[in-house]
Parts: sequence; structure tokens; C-alpha cells
Amino acid sequence: MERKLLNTEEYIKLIKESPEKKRGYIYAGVTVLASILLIIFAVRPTILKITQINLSIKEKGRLSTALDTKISTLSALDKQFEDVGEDLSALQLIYPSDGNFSLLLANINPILSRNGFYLGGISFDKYTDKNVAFAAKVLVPWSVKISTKGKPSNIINLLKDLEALPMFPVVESYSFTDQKDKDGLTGFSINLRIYKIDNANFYE
Amino acid sequence: MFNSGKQPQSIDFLQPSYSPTDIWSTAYIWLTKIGKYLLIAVEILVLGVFFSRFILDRQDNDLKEEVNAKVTLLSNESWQKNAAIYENYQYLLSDIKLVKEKQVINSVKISELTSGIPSTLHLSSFSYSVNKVSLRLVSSSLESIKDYESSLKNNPNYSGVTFSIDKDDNEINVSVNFSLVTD
Repeated sequence: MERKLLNTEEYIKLIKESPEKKRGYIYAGVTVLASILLIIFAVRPTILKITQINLSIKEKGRLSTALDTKISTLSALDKQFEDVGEDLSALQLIYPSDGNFSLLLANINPILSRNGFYLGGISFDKYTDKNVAFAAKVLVPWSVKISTKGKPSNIINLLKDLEALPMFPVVESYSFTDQKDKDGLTGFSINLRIYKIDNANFYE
Repeated sequence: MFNSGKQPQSIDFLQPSYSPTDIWSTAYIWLTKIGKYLLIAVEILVLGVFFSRFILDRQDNDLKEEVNAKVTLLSNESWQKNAAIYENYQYLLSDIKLVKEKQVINSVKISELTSGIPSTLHLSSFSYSVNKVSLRLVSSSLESIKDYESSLKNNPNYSGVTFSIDKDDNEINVSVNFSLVTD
């Protein structure tokens, strides 16, 4: 076979365009393509999933911390409640949840007597006025009407004593006329605003 | 397979002494020389990502179990009941604080009103209802009534002061109405 003589330029061209070189480029391309496909269809979804799991871990971590706080708070409150439970139970008498104002009733008579008054009548009713300028969460205003007889000179002390009761009552209205009965006593009408709880199971 | 035993003899130094011509041999050589590093790198990345996922999955499951255990503990009937009671007491205590702070001591206002009436005027009736005051006074001196009227009208704490005078032979009946100015 006769070999053809080649010059340098033709040798370089031959090397550059050799079939081995072309095959090399093709295999490199195939490998890169395989890598890209692997990254797109295997790595990317996994990274997305990892991101989701990370968010879930953070959320669960926050929840776990909140639950820890709640557990420790409840444990601390258990301890505190053991210490002050008896004091707190007195609140049931001051702000009854069952409409039983026994503490108020038990205190009214001694207060009236102390100030030289006699109890004529007492009644409890729904509070219908709109004079409460604050919004309480559990306490609801209630109305108590007291009719009593005594000397006008003692009425201010009586009103002060009533407003000093532990349920923080407010004298909503008060009236009297100077008509005296056979004992020389004047009749007074006092309307107090007190508070109760509208939930029978509040303390249970 | 790769015709390793049939290597052509040549003295052409521009050609490698052995140059595979079939596609599988070239692929094998390329993969073992250059492509393998690329594939190994990608495989390492893939393995790293998968292992990370396994580790994170385990952490997530552990946290889930931990949260479930705490929720179960808090769902206990006794704990729930106690939590409700403590919450109620907290609301109640905050309400008591509010009621105490906002309590209006009207007995002081009534005391100021009654003590402000001059001794020359006799208070025959008094009515106080949510900052509205009605008085009935009896007097024999018109002068003292006028003084009281001017004192009420000049007091910035009172508004809408009205005086209604009814004169009998010996005494003067006065009906007074006004409101207390609140903040």
C-alpha cells in the first residue's frame, strides 16, 4: 500500500479531527448528561425533601419547646396552688359562680348594724345599666338592691363600709327622703353593683 | 472483547501504539480515565444527600415521638382539669385587679355632695344615680339658696345645674338637678 506523504498542517488537522477525539467528546458529553440527569432526578428531589424535613424539624422543635414550657409552667402552678389553694378557695365566696352571695349576705347585716341601720329588704337582679367602663373576662356585673332604715347622719359611713367589701362593690344609686317612721328613722334605698361568674363549673 | 491480543504494529508516532476502534472499548477507557472522576463526584454528592436525608428523617421521627409523648402527658384528664382551673384563676385574678383599679368610690362623691349643702338649707330628699343628682331643699332664706345656686354653677365638677323654686308662705322649696362631670 502506498503511503501518502503529509505536511505538518495536515498532521495537525488529522490529530484535531481524529475519530478518537470525536469519540472522546461524545463520551464526555454522555457522562456529563448522565451526571446532570442524576442531579435533576435524584439529588434535586432529595434536597427538596430535606428542606421540607428541615422545616418540619424546626416546627416540631418549636412545638416541643412550647410543650416543655407548658409542662414546667403547670408543674410550677401545681406547687403554687398547693401553697395558696386555701386562699384562692375564698374567691368562690367573694365571686360566686353559682349565684350564691352568701358572703355578701353574711356581711351586710353586721355592717348595717354597726352603722345603726336596719335591713328592710335585699334583692339580687341582673345588671341592666351600661356603666361598666371596662371589659372583664370572667366577672359579670350583678345588681343588689338594699332598702334600709337609719339615721341620715350615718349613711355616708354605711356607704363607705359597703364599698370597702372585698368584692369591690360600687354604689350605683342611692336615694332617701326625710320622711321618718314612728321610731324616727329614715328609709334609704341603695343599689350596689357587684360581680359574679357566669360559669357554674368555673372553680371545678 | 477489546481485541487486546491483536495490537497492530506501527512505526507511525503520530498514532498511539494501541488505539481501540470499537465503541465499547473507547467508552471503557474513557470511563476508567476521566469520566469515572465525574461519576464518582456525582455519586458522592448523591450518597451525601441521601445520608443527610436519612439522618434528618431520624431526627424528625425522634422529635415527632417526643412531641407525641408530651401531648399524651398533657392530654391526661387530671392535667387538663388542672390547666383549666389555673387558667380560670388567672383570668379571675386579672379581672379582680381590673375591677379594683376601676372601682369608683361613689360614697366619697355622695359625701362631698351632702357636706356641700349649707346648714341653712334643709335636705328633704336626695337621689344619686350614675352621676346624676337630684335634691329637694327647704329653706326660709332666699339668699342662702342663691348662694348655693351660684356655688354649684361655678363649680367645674358639676354641669347642667337647674334650680326650681317653689315658695310657700313660710318656707321655700327648691328642687335642684345637676350632673357630675367625669373624666
